[in-house]
Amino acid sequence: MKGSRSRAPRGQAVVELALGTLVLVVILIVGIHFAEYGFMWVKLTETANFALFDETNRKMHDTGADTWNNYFGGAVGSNIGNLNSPVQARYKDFNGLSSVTAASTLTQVFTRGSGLTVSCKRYGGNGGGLGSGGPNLDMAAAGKVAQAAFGKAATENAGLSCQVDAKLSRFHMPNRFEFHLGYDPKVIAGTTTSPMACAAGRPSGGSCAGHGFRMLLDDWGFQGASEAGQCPLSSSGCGPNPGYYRMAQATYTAAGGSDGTAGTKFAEGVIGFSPADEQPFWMSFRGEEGFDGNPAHAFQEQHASSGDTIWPTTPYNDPNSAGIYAPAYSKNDKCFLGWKC
Amino acid sequence: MRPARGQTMVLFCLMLLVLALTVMVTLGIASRVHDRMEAQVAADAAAYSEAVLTARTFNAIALINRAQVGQMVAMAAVQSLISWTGAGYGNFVQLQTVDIPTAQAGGMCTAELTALQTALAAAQATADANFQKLDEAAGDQVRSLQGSASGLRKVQLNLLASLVSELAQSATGAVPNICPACTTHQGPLLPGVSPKNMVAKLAKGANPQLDTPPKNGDWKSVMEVESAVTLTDSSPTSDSVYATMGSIGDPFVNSRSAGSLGFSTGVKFPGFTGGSSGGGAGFGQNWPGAQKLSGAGSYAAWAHDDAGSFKFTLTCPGGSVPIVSTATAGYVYSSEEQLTDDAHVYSGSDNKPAEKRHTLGACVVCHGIWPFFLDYALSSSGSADPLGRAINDHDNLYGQPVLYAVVQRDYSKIKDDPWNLRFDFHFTSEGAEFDNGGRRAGSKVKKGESNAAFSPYTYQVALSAGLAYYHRHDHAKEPPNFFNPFWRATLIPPEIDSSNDVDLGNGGDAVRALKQAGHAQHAAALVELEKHGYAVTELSP
Repeated sequence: MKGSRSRAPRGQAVVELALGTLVLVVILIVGIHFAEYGFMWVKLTETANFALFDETNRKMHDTGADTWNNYFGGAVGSNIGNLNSPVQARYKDFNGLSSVTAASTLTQVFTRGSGLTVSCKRYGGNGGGLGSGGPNLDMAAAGKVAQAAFGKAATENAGLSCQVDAKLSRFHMPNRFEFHLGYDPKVIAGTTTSPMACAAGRPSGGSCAGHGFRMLLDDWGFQGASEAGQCPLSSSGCGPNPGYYRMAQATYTAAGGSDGTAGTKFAEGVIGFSPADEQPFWMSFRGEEGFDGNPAHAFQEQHASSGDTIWPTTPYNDPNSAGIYAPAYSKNDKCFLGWKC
Repeated sequence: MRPARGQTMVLFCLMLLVLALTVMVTLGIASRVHDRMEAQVAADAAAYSEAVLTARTFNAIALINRAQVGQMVAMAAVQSLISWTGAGYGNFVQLQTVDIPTAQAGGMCTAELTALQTALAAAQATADANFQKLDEAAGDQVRSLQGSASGLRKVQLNLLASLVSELAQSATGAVPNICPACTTHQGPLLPGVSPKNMVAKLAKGANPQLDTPPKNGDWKSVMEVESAVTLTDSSPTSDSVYATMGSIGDPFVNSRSAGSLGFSTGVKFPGFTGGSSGGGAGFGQNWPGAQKLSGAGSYAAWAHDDAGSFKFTLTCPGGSVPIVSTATAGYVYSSEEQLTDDAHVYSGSDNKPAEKRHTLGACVVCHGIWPFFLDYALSSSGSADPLGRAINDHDNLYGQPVLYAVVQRDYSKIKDDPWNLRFDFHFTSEGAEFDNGGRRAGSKVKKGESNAAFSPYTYQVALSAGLAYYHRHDHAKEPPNFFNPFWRATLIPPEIDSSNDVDLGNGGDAVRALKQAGHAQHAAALVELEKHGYAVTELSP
């Protein structure tokens, strides 16, 4: 067989290895990029979630001063600057830890996140420029009495809509690095060259506008120490809790108040004067302190002119509910939010 | 023999293919995780919004109850004025017949006495001329106040209807019935529900792919709100009556004492004292003139003035002459229109019977004159509430409504992302299937077909729960009620008021909400998680 040497396939493996490694490395790079992209993408949703629910702790109104939606400012549909700025500052580095402050660009191995923008806008129940048909407690349809109590708040149904976007781009990769495996940031981003990613929904026209997590804010509940005071029996206001009396009085007036002064006119016309005026709005709100701090007088009011007569002005021990409210309050060791007092 | 060349290349290529698919899965998983977070945030925002809207409604209801109490206080004031004026008018009448002791005056006060009698006669004439029409007008005012106060209940119901219509709408757009006394909620509430409720509105705002389940309708939220409300129409409560009695602040109305607010300050007859020897106003059957009410069985608005006399000392050059009228009492009693026991008792005569002049409106649930209002869930035994939710039921969070939001993404209806890998395979001989595609290709949910017929991966489901709760700052032990505006909103673990069901391994309200939404497989998965301690049924501060 001498002279019939066959040529050994030398070097082929190297070529195959080189080509294979090239493809392998590319796939690995893409895999890493995808993982990084996914991490940053969900961070946007986390940011929006933070922006939404951090606001539930805000003092939204002051019933004493009769100011509502204090935290928002601006018109419905406008940006809420004093919300967007701090949240954006906190999350601009894609890290929600306030103890960590980094640059506004997060550069990973093959992915760069930048331009994280928090866009929370004031959202009205009837749309407010963010689309119509939002949830709405229809105070107007319920009547002027319903509107009277909460004044301006009753017509706004305040809420907010939060969207967060950022540019998530390839890094350390050629601009025309296409794999034709179906992936390109543009696919996620939509149709434009701007690889935007959104906390809510997908971009349209390179923008995340139009979508956002929408939520109502301000339960209109009296909150804090300044709005929790008792209202001793009075027809001239309530020093410890002025908003309560004022709002209840507004409701009373809108309902027609005393419906006239015929009683007074009757006395004046027949006797010559009237010993009473039926028009004032009398109110008493007593809590567990009662009128004198005595636990036996919890929730009860005492008439100034007859010291032996006390009545519960917050439901407690009247005949129909005595078997319900009093035991619920007296024997229960749980607070009414569910935890132990 | 040919060498086995190229095998490595084939294996390598297959390996690259698998690797490439794995890379696709990386993005696919990231996409699903993002989708899941997006759905959960949308569900949380919707549940919180439900709680906000419910708290707003309850706060408005509370203020309206306070306004109603104020109007009933005003009614008591008008009744007092009617009674007092009637009693005083009676004194006038009596003075006309008083035997003025001219002999005692020795004839020295004749001129003064004559002048007094003339003045009294003139006052009597004026009073006579005014009495009938003014008394009738005052009676009208009392009846008008009852109407206004009753109208407030309509405002409360309007608010409740607005809330319920946001929580769920029927297929026809009609607001579901508000029916706390119904023995079953599903019947009237679920003729079919369109995805137009607020959860759907808010979820679609985040991403049009999100929606509420077609069978959901948030019936559970509506039921929770219903259960927190007692319509006093059929279950009268005295909370409002007692709050009213405690809010009567004018001493004249509350309990006028003898002489303290008699005629001593009267402008027509300076110097007169006396008049009513005491009186007051109130509601119900038990009052000083109870004999009038025996057998009537009616709750009424009344006011009374005890017998008192006009007293006057006539001073003249010849001496002093004490003048005292015969003691007269008076009261007014106004009951429902159907009864004719209404009365205005004084010394005089009416040209219109008191049962016409001083009656109140017709009762719907007789007997009674108290305006309807919305009260909090009051049931110690559960008899008044088909769900047994009550203020003293810790396991149900004292009846405070837990609002559920179920948001879903139906992957069979949305365009696939290019990196999604769709494959499925059987992995048990019984036919259990893994469906990574999240759907069966080309399949649609047919009418009447349960979601459960599809792979659980077809639907991405997020569940959240909000709570409207009563909390007065620094007084967290105070019971929830509809008389004070301390209703707040928060998110809450979905099984917070289902400890018994969770302990038994049956799944609580969250599981029922998922089942009702048609996601039986998700519900079953949640039950299994709860059996291993996943559910939170108790809060810690």
